[in-house]
Amino acid sequence: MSVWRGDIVANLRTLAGVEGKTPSEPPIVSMGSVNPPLIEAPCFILDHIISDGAQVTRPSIDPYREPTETEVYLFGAGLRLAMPIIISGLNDIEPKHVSPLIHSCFRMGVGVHLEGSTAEEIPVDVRRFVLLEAEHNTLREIDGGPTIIRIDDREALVKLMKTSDATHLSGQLAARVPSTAEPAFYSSIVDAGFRVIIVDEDLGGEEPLEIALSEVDQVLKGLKVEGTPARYEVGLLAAASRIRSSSDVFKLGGLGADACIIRDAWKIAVDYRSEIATSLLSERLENLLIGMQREIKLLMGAAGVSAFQSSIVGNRELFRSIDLPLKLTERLGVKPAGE
Amino acid sequence: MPIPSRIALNAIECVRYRGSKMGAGFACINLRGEPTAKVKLFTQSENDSMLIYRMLEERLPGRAAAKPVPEHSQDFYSISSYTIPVDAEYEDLWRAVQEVNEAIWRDGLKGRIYSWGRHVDVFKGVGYPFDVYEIFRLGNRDLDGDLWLAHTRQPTNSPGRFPFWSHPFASGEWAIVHNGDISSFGSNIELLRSIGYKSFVGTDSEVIVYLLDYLTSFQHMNVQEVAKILCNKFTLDVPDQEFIKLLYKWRGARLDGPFSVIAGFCDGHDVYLLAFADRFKFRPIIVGEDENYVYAASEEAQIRTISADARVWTIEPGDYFLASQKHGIIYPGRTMYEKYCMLASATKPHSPDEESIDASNMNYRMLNQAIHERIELGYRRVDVKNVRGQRYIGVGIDKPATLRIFGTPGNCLGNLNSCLDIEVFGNVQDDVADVMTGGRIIVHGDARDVLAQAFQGGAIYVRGNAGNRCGIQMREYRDRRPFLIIGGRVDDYLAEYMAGGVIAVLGLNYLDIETEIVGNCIASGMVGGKIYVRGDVSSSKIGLTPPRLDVLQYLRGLVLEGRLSEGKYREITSIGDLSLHTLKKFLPQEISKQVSKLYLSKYWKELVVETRLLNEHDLALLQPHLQEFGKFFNLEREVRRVIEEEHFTIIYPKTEAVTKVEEPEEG
Amino acid sequence: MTGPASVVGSKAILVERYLPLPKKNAREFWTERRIEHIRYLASCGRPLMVWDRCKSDTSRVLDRLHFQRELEEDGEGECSYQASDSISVSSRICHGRLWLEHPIYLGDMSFGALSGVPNIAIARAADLTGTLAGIGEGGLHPEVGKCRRIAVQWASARFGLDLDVLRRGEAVVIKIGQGAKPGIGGHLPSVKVVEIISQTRRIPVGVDAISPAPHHDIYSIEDLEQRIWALKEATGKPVLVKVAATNYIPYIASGVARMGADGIIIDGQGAGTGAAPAVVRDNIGLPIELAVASADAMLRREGLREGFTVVAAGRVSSAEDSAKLIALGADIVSIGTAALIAMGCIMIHKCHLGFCPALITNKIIDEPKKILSLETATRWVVNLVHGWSSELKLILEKVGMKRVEELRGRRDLLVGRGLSDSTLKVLEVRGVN
Repeated sequence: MSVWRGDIVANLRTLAGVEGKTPSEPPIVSMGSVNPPLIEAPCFILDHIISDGAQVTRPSIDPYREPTETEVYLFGAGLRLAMPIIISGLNDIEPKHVSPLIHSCFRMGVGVHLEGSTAEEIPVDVRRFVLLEAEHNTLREIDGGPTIIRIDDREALVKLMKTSDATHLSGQLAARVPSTAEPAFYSSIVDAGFRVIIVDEDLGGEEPLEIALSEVDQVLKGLKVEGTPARYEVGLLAAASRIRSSSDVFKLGGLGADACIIRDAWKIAVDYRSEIATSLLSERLENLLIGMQREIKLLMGAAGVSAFQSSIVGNRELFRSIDLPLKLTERLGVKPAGE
Repeated sequence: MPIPSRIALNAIECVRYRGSKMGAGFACINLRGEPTAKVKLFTQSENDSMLIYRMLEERLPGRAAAKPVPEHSQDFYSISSYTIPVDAEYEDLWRAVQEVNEAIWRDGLKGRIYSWGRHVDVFKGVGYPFDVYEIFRLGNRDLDGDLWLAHTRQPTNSPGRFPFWSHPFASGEWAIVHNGDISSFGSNIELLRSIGYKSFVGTDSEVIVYLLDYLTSFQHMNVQEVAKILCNKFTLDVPDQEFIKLLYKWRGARLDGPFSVIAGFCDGHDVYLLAFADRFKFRPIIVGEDENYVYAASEEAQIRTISADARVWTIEPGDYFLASQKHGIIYPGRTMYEKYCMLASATKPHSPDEESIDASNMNYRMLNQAIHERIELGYRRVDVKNVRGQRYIGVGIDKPATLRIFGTPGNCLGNLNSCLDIEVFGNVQDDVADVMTGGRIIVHGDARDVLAQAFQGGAIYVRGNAGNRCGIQMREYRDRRPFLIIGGRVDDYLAEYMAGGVIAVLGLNYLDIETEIVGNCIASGMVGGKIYVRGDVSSSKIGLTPPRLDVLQYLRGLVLEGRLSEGKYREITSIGDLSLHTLKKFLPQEISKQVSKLYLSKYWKELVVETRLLNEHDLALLQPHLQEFGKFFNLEREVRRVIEEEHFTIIYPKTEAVTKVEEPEEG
Repeated sequence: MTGPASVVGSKAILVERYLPLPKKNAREFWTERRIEHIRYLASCGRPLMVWDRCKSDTSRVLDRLHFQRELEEDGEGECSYQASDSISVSSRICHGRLWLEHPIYLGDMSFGALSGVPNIAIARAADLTGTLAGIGEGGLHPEVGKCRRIAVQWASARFGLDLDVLRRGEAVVIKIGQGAKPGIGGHLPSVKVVEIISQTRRIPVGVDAISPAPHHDIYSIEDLEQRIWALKEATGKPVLVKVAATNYIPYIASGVARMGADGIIIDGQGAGTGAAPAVVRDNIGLPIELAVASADAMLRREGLREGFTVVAAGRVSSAEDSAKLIALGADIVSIGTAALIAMGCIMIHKCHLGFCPALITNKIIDEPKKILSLETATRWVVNLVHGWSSELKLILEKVGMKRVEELRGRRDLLVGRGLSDSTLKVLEVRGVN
């Protein structure tokens, strides 16, 4: 069973303007759904999660005509993203496309995750939207904006802290970690001064992303930073190449992610091929981002919510699971549908 | 002047139909206060109350000053209220309450500590307000308060069998009553858990009072700051960075979804009345004042029960009202409120006929029946006096007649009206003239929210102001064209989804003031008809504009790529109104086209917006109705001056968007 | 008024046959087998099967529920006989104020979403079979207005409504939500808003007919009560409230009952629609079986179930589906998509484009070359109702019941196969391997 079902790909490409005539418009369809888990086979826990539709006691909101706020803040409100999306996977594309696509993300107020590039190549203004990843196994801030340090486990963190001069770390530091839910690990990360944690399923880990994310969110709520719960000082991001769509971003938000790092979906959406003109790729990426933002707004509005970060992030009460074992629903903190 | 409990009862029983037998309650707040905290609890038996007493004793050794005293003899579903005086530091008491409440439910007891203030006293139970009042014998107790809250409950997401689900909810020296269904509930409760709240009855109302108490008592924030965080008001401006940081840090306290809240608070030095509404104003709330008191209520009829001549006005969407015993009104809930509420008393009532129907002791059905009977008897005019909150007046009457109403009619006045002329001497409440297809409604006062929804024939004239979402989905067909004329100002979402007809907002009492007489997002989703607003309306108030920061970000990106000059960018950042309309004036065509994708969508087309004097076409359209408006309210000269001398902002859809029909795709 | 009413006598070729079903690669709930079953019923009005032995080809919860009785039997489940005449499927609903000869509501498809002839066919079929047809939110087509057994819809846009229209028919339906797009309002794409639709809906030609997401006079449960009683005051008819199956459906159902409505139509995830954003259709809402079971349980707990009517809607594809939904707590079921299939729908998902090869949801044009035969379409729907009820009677016979009302809430007759513990708990149904 492919993760990239035909209808998911078609939806992405319609948003990007690769297919159809209405780029950026959430596709309109007719007649019944075939969505997992009831018709199509589910691939992940996400496929078992549904969102709320507000009605009767709680009016829904029409995002085409009424305001809905998708912006999220990270690093103590030091970084504002226009929507809960960060684009990644730029390292393995044709170099000539990289800079224009970063600029597209900048214009749209969307973050970029970049590995192995040097800070000097990125204009200073743009740099603050780019989460630059330091070389593996080094703890070093890269000037001018957020820095990501990849940390594989607690031992690696301890070693890093010992070998580096960590005392003067003060800027916008993010830790990218495997999909694990070990409380002590996260406690050490927060203590070390990281103010964003990226749970990245592509780095491995013993838990599915959904479970790790939801449990880390809870762990951070139990820790304290300067007297207040750590979660409200520390941003939490979800990353996986299998994050497919705005609805995945929305549901991961419900499980605790302030934003999601999207690796493959955008390339599939813009039909990335190195020979395509850069300007066209840029335009498609912008179309896609506007479209995904609109889809997120539709989901928010339908749930009677007008602000993403304060009302959706970690708001498990807005979600229900369909046909998941009780044990899993408890770990997720998401009630079974109908309960 | 202290307020006797009877007044609170009368004001809440006036809207008995809003509630159910599933819960009601009162809170009394006094600056005087008790020497020690009054811990109040519900339990099933005296035995259980002793158990809870011991739990408290264990956590606050020697502090529980006396054994539990039963507060009333009757019970609610076998649950009674007890009181224990406790002398302890607030933080210790708070912690003990959290732990005890957690332990009560863990041990399977049906009980709960529901109030623990020195100044706040709560009386609540299962039943209608009158039942609770009787069970607590409030009438016999000679109980006065500096502030009273009262509530009748219509449960939404919890069953209502136990009294601890009733309002008011209290925490420390705060008590609130709430009407709403908070969609951020899941996020709010996560914040509370993470800061040490351990036990919840599970309603969103309780969450609100905990947030208020926590932020004021433990974070020492001032009430206005806290109210701003909770209300979460929409603003077209960018708030300053410090406020953004505050909102970010306390994002778990921001409320979303529908709510209106009335809260009472005593900080030991003063007693406060705080009232606030959600950013879309999805729940009714109205405030008022007279010489002696301030008021906040769901319906004007409630305030009128206490004070016939109070000045009343509404809170702006997402805003708050704050008043205190010592300082009077601290923040009125909207800017320009002086002018706003002036209108309510602007027209002195005419007198009703001698043989008018006296609605004093009639429910809506009796009243409608009485009106119906007279019209059937051939009366061409029926007067009704002493109207106080009766709903559905005039609904279902299909014979032409004039109905004159003296007082405050309830919601849904003139719904589906096809032929009646309804003249109201007073303010009207929500949902007036829904699906009205003919006849006239004349209001010598203000109208509240959702006036003239799907209005499609006839005329509506309002002397004063109107609230949120007026004239939404108005439409015209064949020879029918509805006219809605507002003498004062309106709030947000005027003419949302409008498909036909004419709306005019005159701002008659604002002529000398530099103020806009419409709220945000007007004409959002408009596809037909015409809107006239006196004065120059900022184009960012028309329709939906993307966040300012997003637009600037996009333009900044273009500067970095060398496609827009730094100078131009700076110029644009200084403009207050970043609508597409404005940008087009400043940006090269190619760039404004590129930026327009942030604004436009398949469902969001640009409207035509003109600011100018009225021309002959406008006058041909408007004059007959404006003259009629002037005649009803004795404003003929004023109206004539306005239409001859004043600029209007005129809004209507582009016609090409309307006529172009796509061909169906084959296959 | 011009348009479909007069089209009945036009020169267009009348379509009276089903189109062949296209071969499809994508998965679909409405499989060829389900469509063929409906076509059989619609063609002859006689039963085809008692039990659907192939239901496990989708993993819908309802398909993993079985009557214990079915598992005790061998054989194909097909049959060619009728049930005993003594078995009754008639139903008294809305506190006894309405009488249905079959436990079927023909659900809420608007004039505009459907192209006229199908609207008339459904309304006439309701009169002929003694069921009830919801007219949806598109105003009253004059031919539909001549039928008695209709329920007029009061939705957020109020399209085509006035006092006179509201007073037609047997009941008023306040439409709050729909299963295909909970939290989103109705949407008739601009391409289908032609002159006659513009006239009935009272909006300009060629613009999308959008209904607001919520009713702007119903922001709370007490507001709903206010609207219910306003409509009762205006019409004197029973009022049903249609909602989507969402997280809080048990509370919403009990609220709706407490506020004085006579019934609730609960529309489940995956229900049909003429146009919906895919992202909303696919990610919001509960399957009807979970919603009905939980709503029924709450209504009973709160003492609100008697006299109040629960209509189950959304992917109701067969008599067996309706029997299970009734056993889970519904009174009657709503048939929408199945009625379209009976009239020739081949499920190509093009309704929103105004192009429908089966001439059911196509854009209305002035001089069409072909139109659906009203007579045939009516007969198909009438047959569907009769065939469906015959199959339902066979199921009742198998479980030893004389009246469909005995089946209501009999969860003990059902077992679940391969369902998670959480699902079984909500359904209050035993699991088997």
